[in-house]
Amino acid sequence: MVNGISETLMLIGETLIYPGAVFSFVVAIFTQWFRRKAYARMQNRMGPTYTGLAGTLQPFADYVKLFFKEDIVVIRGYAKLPAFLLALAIGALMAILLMLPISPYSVYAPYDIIVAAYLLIWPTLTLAALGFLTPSPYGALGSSRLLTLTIAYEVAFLISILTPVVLASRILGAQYSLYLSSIYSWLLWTNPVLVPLMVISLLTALISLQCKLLEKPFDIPEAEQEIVAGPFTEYSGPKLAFIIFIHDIEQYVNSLIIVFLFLGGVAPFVEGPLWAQILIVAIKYIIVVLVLTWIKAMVARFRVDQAIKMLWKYIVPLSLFALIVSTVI
Amino acid sequence: MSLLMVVLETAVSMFIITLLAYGLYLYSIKVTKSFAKESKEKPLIYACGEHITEKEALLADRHLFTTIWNEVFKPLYDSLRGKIHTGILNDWFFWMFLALIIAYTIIIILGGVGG
Repeated sequence: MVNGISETLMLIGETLIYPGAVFSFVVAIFTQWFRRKAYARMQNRMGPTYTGLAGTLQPFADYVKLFFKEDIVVIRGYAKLPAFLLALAIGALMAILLMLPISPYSVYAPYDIIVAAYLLIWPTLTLAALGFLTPSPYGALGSSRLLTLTIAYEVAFLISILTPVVLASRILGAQYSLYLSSIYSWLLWTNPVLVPLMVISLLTALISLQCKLLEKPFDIPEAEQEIVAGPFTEYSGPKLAFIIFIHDIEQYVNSLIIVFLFLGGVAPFVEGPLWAQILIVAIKYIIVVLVLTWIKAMVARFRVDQAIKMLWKYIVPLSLFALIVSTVI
Repeated sequence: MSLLMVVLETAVSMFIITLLAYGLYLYSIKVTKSFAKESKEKPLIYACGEHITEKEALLADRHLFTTIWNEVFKPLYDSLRGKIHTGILNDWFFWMFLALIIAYTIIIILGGVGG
């Protein structure tokens, strides 16, 4: 009984503080600042400089500003339903954090990768639904584009993250669990036969993640020169703050999944001190965010058919190849 | 831990965060109502700098389902459409006959219509 109560309190504490709401908010602010700063430096700009040390508090100031702006609801638009959907998407993303090794009391079971995959799709569906909840042609077009992309990139991303999970489960006994696969995945890099599969699925995961985050060259649903902000056109104030927060949290959670499943997590400090493990995970996380920002700064936007063609012609088959080989190897 | 417990614990976590975020939203609109001037401009629908009616603003739902076929998979069936619609009746009959044979073959492979 006491054990059950302490576990429940632990779950609530993790959800609200670490690695849940408070910690995620801090990381989201840092991630947004780092991405904006790196992106600006790649374009010979300064990026945020004014608020906080080197502009570190600029994202926080932006969130506060948006949070206390008027929530304008366009005629025939829904007032509270989009906010509830956004809150659900934030909840889904933060629930995934409990299934990763950064959580002190990790939630895991055999085959829980299915639960993680289910939770990962929530934000995409929420963002697509937002466009259809306003009577705006830009919103409907943006959502239509987003759903068209979804059938390609969600497939590619899920197949890509399944490859290390399948390999870790078949070879190292990770039982198709996200947590156990994250812990054992660094051992996959020690086997030369598995390295090509890991490299292929890492590349496909990074490219499909770029599409999942709607960053260039896949920012087609919110192409500002064509359809203003796509599904988010008619949203302002706290709802816009939630949309930006979901983007940051999605980057944080998915990048962490890549760090743990593909980049070895705490390796090479598996047996090392805690501070070294935290430091190495942070460094790997920053590298993933930097690579995604670098891709964003380097390329121009695809058309929707070009993006779909690229994803279905190269990324999905490559990730599928790695997955099929990982099931027979 | 069983898979059901994982589902339950993640659901509880998701529920708590959803309540927290939605509560923050409700707090935000309550606070901002006290000092923000209500906007008169944005509730109207704009597109390309002009007011448009609600009917014009809404896209037909069918686009959601047909866009992908029309835009993405068009190259896959476009050449076939050219071959069928030549204006010569025999061409059309040929393709329809071919489609019928394929349909019959599939039905026979699946065990026929009588079960």
